[in-house]
Amino acid sequence: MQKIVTIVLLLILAAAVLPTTLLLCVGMMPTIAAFFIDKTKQQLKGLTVGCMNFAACFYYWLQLVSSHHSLEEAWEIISPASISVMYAGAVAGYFIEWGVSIAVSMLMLQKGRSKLKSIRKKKEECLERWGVEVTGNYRLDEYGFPMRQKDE
Amino acid sequence: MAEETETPESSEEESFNSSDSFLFKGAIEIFPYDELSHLSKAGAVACRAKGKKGEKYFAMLCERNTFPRTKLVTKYNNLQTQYMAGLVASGVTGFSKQEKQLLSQQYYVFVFEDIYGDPFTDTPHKATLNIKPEIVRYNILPSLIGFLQDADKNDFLHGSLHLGNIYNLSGIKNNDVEGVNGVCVGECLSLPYSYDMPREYLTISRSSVPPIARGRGVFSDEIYSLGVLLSIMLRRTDPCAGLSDDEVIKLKMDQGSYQAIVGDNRIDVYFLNALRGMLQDDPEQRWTLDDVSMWVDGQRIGVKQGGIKRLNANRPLPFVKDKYIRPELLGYDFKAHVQEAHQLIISGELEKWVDRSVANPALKARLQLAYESSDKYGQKTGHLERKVAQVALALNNDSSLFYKDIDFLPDGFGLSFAKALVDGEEIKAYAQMLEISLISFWVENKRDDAADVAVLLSAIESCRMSAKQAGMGYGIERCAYLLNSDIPCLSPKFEDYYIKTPEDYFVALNDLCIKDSGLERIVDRHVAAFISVRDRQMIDAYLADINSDVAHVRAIALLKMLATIQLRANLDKAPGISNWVVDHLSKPLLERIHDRDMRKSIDMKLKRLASNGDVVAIASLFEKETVLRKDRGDFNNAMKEYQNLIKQEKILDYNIKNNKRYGQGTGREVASIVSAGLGFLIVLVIIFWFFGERLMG
Repeated sequence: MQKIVTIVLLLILAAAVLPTTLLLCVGMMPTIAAFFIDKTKQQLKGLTVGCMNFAACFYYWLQLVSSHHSLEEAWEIISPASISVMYAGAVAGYFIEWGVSIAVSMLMLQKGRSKLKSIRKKKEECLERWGVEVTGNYRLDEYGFPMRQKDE
Repeated sequence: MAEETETPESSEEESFNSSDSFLFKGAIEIFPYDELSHLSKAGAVACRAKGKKGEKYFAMLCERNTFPRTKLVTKYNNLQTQYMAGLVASGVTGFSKQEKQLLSQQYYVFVFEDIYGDPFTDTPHKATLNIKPEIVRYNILPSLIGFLQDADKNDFLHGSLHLGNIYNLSGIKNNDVEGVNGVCVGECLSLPYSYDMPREYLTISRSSVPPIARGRGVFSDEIYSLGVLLSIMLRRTDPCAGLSDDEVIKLKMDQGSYQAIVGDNRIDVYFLNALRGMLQDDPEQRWTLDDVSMWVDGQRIGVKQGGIKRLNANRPLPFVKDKYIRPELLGYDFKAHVQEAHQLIISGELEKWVDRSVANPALKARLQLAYESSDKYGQKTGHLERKVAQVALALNNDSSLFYKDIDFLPDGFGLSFAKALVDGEEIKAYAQMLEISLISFWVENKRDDAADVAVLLSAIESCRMSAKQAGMGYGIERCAYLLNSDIPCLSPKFEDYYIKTPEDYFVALNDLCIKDSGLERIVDRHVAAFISVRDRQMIDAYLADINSDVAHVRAIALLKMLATIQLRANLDKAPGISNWVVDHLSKPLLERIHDRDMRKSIDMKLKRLASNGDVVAIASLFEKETVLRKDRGDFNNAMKEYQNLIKQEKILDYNIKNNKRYGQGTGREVASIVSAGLGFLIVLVIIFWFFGERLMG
């Protein structure tokens, strides 16, 4: 219900600022596409692309709102050149997503490897300090030591 | 008379002693090689000693295995008599350099004032002295009676009143009987009761057992010994001349002690009744000290009527090579011919003889009881010997007890057993004795009631229970200490030491650890039983663990026991023990600490404490309640942490190897943030540029 109300309100708002709606619908088409392509739970691709796409659209939107904010002017602004600029912003967003993701995941992998190293070192230290019985792989006597011959 | 005191190693030692003497209790110089042979006894050497101001003393050096009567020291000190040497000091020799040089082992030492002159006679074993009655009456008897009165007043049993232990007062030569003006009685503490007493001076039952098994004695036996002593002094001929000890006993049983000892000698009328009274075989009929005192004071005391009724049979019973008409004599000879006696019993001959020829209802009833009791016992081990012993007891209810090779009076069982233990004799018979309740049969059937029978039976019962338990601290060894409250620890490991308390054990152990670096075990069955009986708080809490098969459990129990003794008795540092503990116990103890870091740290502390001698400090390093508990807790946490690390490792390892998208989620998050930030910056730049242009334009 809440969703429907939000959609209805958005539709009313879009109708109220129709030139802006027209401009952004055309200019932010790659962002809309990115939202649909992204199958991840967080849908961060849309956000990444959208931010850059919106920044690229922003100049044209300023032109629109600083004049009469009419449909005619909106149609005038939407030209192959402006669309290229706006879509170039979206492409930059895509690049950021691709590049940063790879860089961060490589960084994370490196970090994981060093963490694995540190875990193994800790295990060794643990063994050194507490003996093999700490592994839990041995049957222990009532005092917590590996079972052995009664009179050692 | 001096009380027993601790051994102080005083600085006076330097100025006091010479190379052939050592200082005892800081004030008495003892010359162990200057033997006084006339005061020495078998197993206890008398040697010269002197006080600080040159007082003339003599010291009795008693070996561990002779069982000196150390518990009697307090009573001895209460004696006021001038006819026995006063006790100056007593105790165990120490570990000073001088003592170690001069003595091969530790001794229990009694130091007495040397009031003794020559021995009363050069020939103490001579059976007749033929001294004039008036000399005995006026010059000798008052000293003896004075001594006995004092002993009786203080509940003191001398047990060694015989010719070999009587001395002239200082200055009188032993050949000068006419010149005797009072005699002294020799000391009696260095040997067990009656141990060195010739058999002739002992009552029938006491003389029929080995010296060590003669029991603790009763005062009426002192009167008996006095009677024998006076008889020997007075008589001209010895009725027992040429007879063996056994034959003397039989003669006493047959004719009564008076007849056997005095015989046909013509005794002065003054002594006649007194000797009859003193030599009565029935303790009830024997003169008491009051009777003797009244007699000495000049009152006329008659011989008491009644006494033991000696039974005679109508016809003799052939047994082995003899024929018997007296049941007591027959019973007495049973112990020398057990197999034949058993044959006689099971053949029914004996029963028939008692029934028809002796015809005494009391004896018949006793015999019946003996049969029933032994039949009830069945055919278990030793049934034959048991039956013979019980029947012998029925025939002669004043006799000692015999079972297999052992022959004893019940209150001498403890010492007899202890002696067998130290001599390494077979003790199986003693263990069986405890099982077969022969002693309780003796108690039920004996003629007179001994005062401490209940105490004896209770101790025997404790021994029986203890003998059933196998662990260290229990078993047959414990019986030796339960039955003898004054014997030292009989451990073969400590044969050169005289250990009478757990504290002595600690001190001796320290010395032994210094001397013997290869010492492996410090507690054996004797030590554990000895400490447990003498002071249970020192060891009982750790006994179960000392018996454990697990090395570290045993080690910690030993350490705690040693620490408890040192702490409770406030003993000096014991570097020998602390070094031994570090050398022998630290390995199993350290191995039972999980934390290797803690092990290293404790090991370092142990090495520092090794020569310090503080066993309590060493034990505190392994305090179960703090150190070991913390170690256990930390180990449990470490186990959990280890499992956690394994889990993390698995996850991480899997992700790195198999998850191709590893880190991409975070990458996208970072990308979105970067993109948002960059977008925001671009918007800001456009705003500034757009409105700036307008403003400028």
